[in-house]
Amino acid sequence: MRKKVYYLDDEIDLCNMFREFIETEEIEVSTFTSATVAIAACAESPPDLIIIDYRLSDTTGDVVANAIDSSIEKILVTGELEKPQHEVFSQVITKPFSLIELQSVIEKLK
Amino acid sequence: MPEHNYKFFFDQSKDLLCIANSDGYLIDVNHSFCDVLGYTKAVLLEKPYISFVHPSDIEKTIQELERLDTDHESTNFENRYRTQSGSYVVLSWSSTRDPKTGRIIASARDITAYSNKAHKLQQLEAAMNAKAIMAETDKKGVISRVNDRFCEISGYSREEMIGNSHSAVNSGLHSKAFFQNIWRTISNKEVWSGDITNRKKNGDLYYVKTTIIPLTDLEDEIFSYLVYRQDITDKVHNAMDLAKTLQILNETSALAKVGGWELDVATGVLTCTDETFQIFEVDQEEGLPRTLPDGIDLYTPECSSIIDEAIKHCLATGEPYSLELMANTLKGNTLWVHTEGKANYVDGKIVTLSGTIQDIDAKKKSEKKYNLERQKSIQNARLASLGELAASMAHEINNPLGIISGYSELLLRDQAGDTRAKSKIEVILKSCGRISHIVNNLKKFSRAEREQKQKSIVLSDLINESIMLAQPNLKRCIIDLQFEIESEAHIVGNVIEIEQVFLNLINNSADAIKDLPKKWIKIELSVTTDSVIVRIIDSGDGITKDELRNIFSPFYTSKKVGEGTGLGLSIVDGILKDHDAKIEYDGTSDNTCFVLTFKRDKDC
Repeated sequence: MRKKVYYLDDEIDLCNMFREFIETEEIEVSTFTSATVAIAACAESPPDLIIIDYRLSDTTGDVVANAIDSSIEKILVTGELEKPQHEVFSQVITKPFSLIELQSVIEKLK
Repeated sequence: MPEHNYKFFFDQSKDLLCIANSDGYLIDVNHSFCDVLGYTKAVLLEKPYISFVHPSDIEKTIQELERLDTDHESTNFENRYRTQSGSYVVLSWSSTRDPKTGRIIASARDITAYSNKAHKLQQLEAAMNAKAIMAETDKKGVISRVNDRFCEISGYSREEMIGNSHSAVNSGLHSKAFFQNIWRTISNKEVWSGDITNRKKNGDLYYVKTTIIPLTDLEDEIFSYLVYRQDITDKVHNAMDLAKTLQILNETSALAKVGGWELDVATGVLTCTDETFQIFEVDQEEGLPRTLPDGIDLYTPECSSIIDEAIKHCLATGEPYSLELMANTLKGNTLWVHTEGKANYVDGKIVTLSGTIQDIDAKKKSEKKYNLERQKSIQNARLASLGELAASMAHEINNPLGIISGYSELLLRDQAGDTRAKSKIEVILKSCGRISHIVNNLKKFSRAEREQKQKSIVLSDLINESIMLAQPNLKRCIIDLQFEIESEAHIVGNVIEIEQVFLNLINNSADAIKDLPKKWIKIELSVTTDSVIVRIIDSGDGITKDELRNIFSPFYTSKKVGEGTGLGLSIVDGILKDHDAKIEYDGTSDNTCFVLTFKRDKDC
């Protein structure tokens, strides 16, 4: 079955880049620049994984994560100097991240 | 006896001989009479003899003559006769009156010299009686006479004293031995003199300078003691007040840690107060610094030349000085003192220099500490704002950087066989990595990192970080930096502070050597059982002794105005002290070399 991965970041370029690199026949990628839309999408069609940027235009990644079903795995990406620590995320990855590394993280998903 | 023999006796007698008639005229005088008075015989016989008598003595002379009328004899009668020169001589007369003729036959002796002496004694005694406290005792010490002054000062009447010993005025403050010594002296016919404390009738004490004179008779036996006393009560009280004032002054100066000194210009003798000795830890029994060179030796070698210069200048020009110097006490301790000196003139000439020495060690040290704390807080404030800037910048940089690196990765994946393009993209990715690393480095300035005081650090990593931060400066100056790691060890410390230390030292070296033909810096890291040692050597040719004295002082800089804050090394020193580490200048190296010694973290 094709894995479903969501990516939420208010930087549209990062969203496009992520999709272009990660999306394969095994992995289906949807990207969001709006937290509200992403939360709604998770409720409607839950992904296997959602990667959330910490600093969003109108909220922060942890707030978004808490609004999403706990059964969905969540990874935080952040460009902050001080890494935010939240139990809701399975991993925190610092920006700028290496796409190859991120890819291997996603591939390891069950 | 033949007549001429009497005549010879009359003429040649050394006594003054004369015959007077009942009318009051001399009718014959001998040679001595004329010689002593200086008149010719004719002059003497011409006037009534009473006219030669001193006006004050005329009355008693007339009375004596009247007595002679009845008694026919008179002996040891003294009066004064006027001589030809106008002065008077004292004559002592023995006269007989012939009742038949009424003639007087008289002989006289010139006792002027003796009389003067007696008169002098009389005056002396009168003066002593008037001004001194006098008493006289018999040879057993029983008082036979006291004067008014004695009664006044002691408060006892004559009746209370005469017939008794001096025990009434005994204060009880002198020992038995003291009085035994007096008796031993005076009974030996020696004069005793000394100060005695006596007690008045009302109980008050009075102080007398006392002289006891044993008086002996012709057989050389003591018959009496003359006790002559002077009232020195005021003097004693003044001395007591003075001693008290001095004591207060000494205590005050000890509290304020201020000593005084005076230099006698002519003799070169240096006089110091107790506190001065205290400050310099000079044991007074050990021998005092008696001369100027001794005093100057009490300063550190650098400071002794300064004080020497100041004193010479003061001696030459009279200009006072006020200096803060490092002293080396006799016990080998080093401390800060404030010393002042000024010239003192007599008749326009400098005769002495005098001044003060104050122990300002505690003040100076807290001042230094305060300065260092202040610099550190300035530094901390700068770091805090840098931290805030770093936090907001990191986010702003990391996102676009992520886009660059991400798209580069995409490009790289898509360049199937184009190796040239691939290598170019790899350079972009590598550069992104460098930017990312630098941004990540700013993390040190964030609040959380700064507040996390101590942690175990791999020192070589930290030095590498510092080198990287200094790299732009080094590249601009074209300086070659080598870092040699002999072995590796952990230390415990604050990352940002230790990094500051190395950054400061590297930048200092760079500034110092940037204009030299050879420009290199070498950092060597080595480890011993307990320590981690870092040597930072640059191509400079060392630091002069004069500069060395100040390099760790705040606000000292050898750089041009505007180029250095003068805080670098003092901050380095401060940070290292906080870490129980130290920095030393290695004077034995051919080049400029600082040696840093850290405590090794043995838990790692």
